[in-house]
Order: sequence, then C-alpha cells, then structure tokens
Amino acid sequence: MAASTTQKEIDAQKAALVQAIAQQGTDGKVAFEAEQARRAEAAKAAAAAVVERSQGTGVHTPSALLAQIRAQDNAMNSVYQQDATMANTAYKRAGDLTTYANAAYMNQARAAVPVVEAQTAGQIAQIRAQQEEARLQREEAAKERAYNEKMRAMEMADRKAAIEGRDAAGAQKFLQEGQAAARENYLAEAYANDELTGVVLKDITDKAGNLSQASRLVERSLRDAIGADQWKAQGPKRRAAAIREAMRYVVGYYTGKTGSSDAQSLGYQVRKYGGDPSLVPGYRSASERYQADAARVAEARAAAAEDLQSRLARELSGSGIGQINQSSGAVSGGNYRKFQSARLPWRY
Amino acid sequence: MPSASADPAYLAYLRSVGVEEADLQNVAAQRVSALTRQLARGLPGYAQQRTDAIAGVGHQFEDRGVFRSGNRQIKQADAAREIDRSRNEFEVGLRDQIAGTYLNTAADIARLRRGLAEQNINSAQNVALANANSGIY
Repeated sequence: MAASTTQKEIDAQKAALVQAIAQQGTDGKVAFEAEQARRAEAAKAAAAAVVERSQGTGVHTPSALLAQIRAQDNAMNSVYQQDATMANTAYKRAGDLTTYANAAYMNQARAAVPVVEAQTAGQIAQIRAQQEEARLQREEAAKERAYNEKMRAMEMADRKAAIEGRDAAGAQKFLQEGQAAARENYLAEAYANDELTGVVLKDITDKAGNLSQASRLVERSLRDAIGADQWKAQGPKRRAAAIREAMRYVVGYYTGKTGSSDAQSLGYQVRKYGGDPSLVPGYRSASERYQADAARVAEARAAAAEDLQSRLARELSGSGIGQINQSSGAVSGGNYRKFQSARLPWRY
Repeated sequence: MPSASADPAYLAYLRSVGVEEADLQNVAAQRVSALTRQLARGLPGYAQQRTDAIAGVGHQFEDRGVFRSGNRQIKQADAAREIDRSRNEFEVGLRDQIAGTYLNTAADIARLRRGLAEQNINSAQNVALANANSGIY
C-alpha cells in the first residue's frame, strides 16, 4: 500500500531525528579521540622524562630498569586505555540506543497513521452523514414551510372569499331590507295621500309578486274596493284616470321611481319593467299612434285645402277680378291683372 | 489525511521546535567549550607538576649524595606516574562530562522531534476533520 502524506512526513522526520542523534554522537566521539591522542602522547613522554632527568645529572639508566619503569607506566596507561575504551563503547551504545529507540518510536508512529486515518475516515463519514441528515432536514423543513405557506394562502383566500360572500350577502340583505322599507314607506305615503289608493295598492301588492302581475290586478282591485256598481257608474274617463293613478303607484312601488302622470310615459314605464302597457288607459302603441297621426295629417290637409278655396273666393269677391268657379277653380270676369298681382301668403 | 502543514497549530509547534533545538545545541556547545577550555587550562599545570615531581625526587637524592641510584629513578618514575594518574582522572572526568552533554542534547532533541511527529499526526487528523466539518472533501 502506498505511503500516505502523513507517513511520508514521518519518514522524513525520522531520518532527521536519527541524523540529529548521530551528529551528537559524532561530536562526542571527537572528544574521545582527542583524549586518546593526548594519553598516547603523554605515555610516550612519561619514561623519557625520567631518563632525560637522570641523564642530565650524569645518571645512566640501565635498560632493565627502564623496561621496569615503562612496564609500570604501561600498566597504568592500560587501565585508563581500558577505561577509555569502555567509556567509548558505552557512549556509542548509549547513542545507538537513543537512535534505535527513537527510530522505533517513529516506526510505531508511522504504523499508527493508518489506524488514525481509519478512525478519521470513520469520523468524516459520521460528519458527512450528519451533514446529509441536516441537509435533508432543511429540505424537509423547507417543504413543510412551503406547504404551510400554501395552506395559509389557501385559507386566506377562503377567508377572503367568505368575507366577500358575507359582505355580498349582507349587501343583498341590506338592499332587500332597504327595498322592503322603501316599499313600506311608499305604501304608507299612498295611504296618507289617498286612503282608497292605499287600500288598492296594498291589495295589489299583497297578491302580486312583481309589476307585471300587479299591473293586471289594478282594475279588478279598484273595482273590488269601490264596488262593482259604483265602478261602472263612474264612467270611462274617471275609471281610466283612477286606473292610471293606481298604476302610477304600482310603478312607484315596484321600481322605486315615480310613475309618470302622462299616459304614454306611464305605459313606457310599465313595459320597461315587464308589464303590459296596454293596461294603461290612454297609452297607444306605435301602430295606433301612426294611424292616429296619419288621420290627423289627412284631416289637416283637408282643412287646409278647404281654407285655401274659401280664402281665394273671399279675396276675389268684390275685387273686380271676376268670379271663381268653386268646383273647377276657374276664374272668369273682373280684373285679371289685379288678380295676378295679388300677394298671397307664401304657404299657399 | 491531508498534510499537517495546513494546521496553524502544527506550524507553530514546528517553529517552537526549531528554536528549542537551536537553544539546546547552543547550550551544549557552550558547555563543551567550557569543558574543553578547562582541559586546556589544566594540562600545562599537570605537565609542570610532573616535571617538578621528577626534579624534586632527584634533588632529594642528590642532597643526600645519592646520584647513581636505581632507586632514585624508580622514585622519580613513581612521582611522575602519580601526576599522570591525576591528569588522567582529570581528563576522564572532563571527557565523561562532554560525552554526557552530547547524550543529553541528543535525548532532548529526540524528545522534541518525537513530539513533532505526534503533532504531525494530530494536526493531519485535525485538518481532515476541520475540512469535513467545513464541507471540504
């Protein structure tokens, strides 16, 4: 398995550690070597010094004696040489042990890296799981918020619609109540103005649901209120006036608008609100009015023609112009010139 | 795991290790220098003592009129050897102190570097976990 980043770093640290320990050992070894060199030098000088001193005083040193002295020096030097060797060995061993122990430590640390990495991977997996769980919870919460928001919007819409419906119902009720109150006032007004009209109007409105029905009940209700005989005895003009008057109140009661006193206009009102205008005495339909107008035009024309004949005859008589034949229109005798200059109105 | 170098705590430890190791080496070098200078100061004294001892023993024998005596040379050698023993003890003592200084320094440096390795592992783990907590994978 390839070494991880941390293992490579520990490898480098281990090498540096071993090198640092070795450097200390090398420095210490120099001190040992220097001591050994000094000891060897001193050993060589030891016996020589005694010999030189003796020779300086004229003393000859026998070889046997010199050998004995040197042997004793060597014995002492060997003790220190042995000590130096032992010290050097111990020092080297101490350095090596330090190196080995620390190298082993670093090896163990390196070996622990995969364990730590596995543990870390587990913790990272746990962190990821927690993060994923948190993300899901956030999403869930967002969905819930959106759902609640939607529900709230729908509830608000429902509430608004309910309020609007209640308001509309209230308005309708208000209008109906207002209309009922207006009609009651209207009825009371009718009573106040004329009791008979009030009685008739109440009778009609009790039985009828709208203007169309009411308009058909007017004459019968009047007859019932007055009495059939008296109703008949009143004559057509008074009956027609009574019907129109009652019809005006009927229009006012059902439409809230004042019924016209003009028969034709009243008929229009009745027709506009669904009633039969022919029930209004004096109301004439378009065809009736046309016929009446045509007759009136014919009558006017006839009158105008008659008037022209008469006037011409009057102008001409006594003027010396002559006589006019009434049937043919021809003029005879008299001053024709004057007749010619006679100024007649333009319309003739 | 990522490198521990991304962990500020590791970098701080690395800096402190460098300084402490330099301090240890400076102290050790000063100590070794002092011991070496002590050795340098002591050796001439021992050489003088050795010369004086040999001469002293010779004078004692000469004062008594004994010039050509093997015993005189033996006593001179013994006196010189006694000074040599003292010098050797002096040198060995200083040597052992120098060696101990180096060994202690090595052990202290090793301790620092073991801590660095531990910090390396901990920091690498901390960086990995911090990255994971930050959403960096």
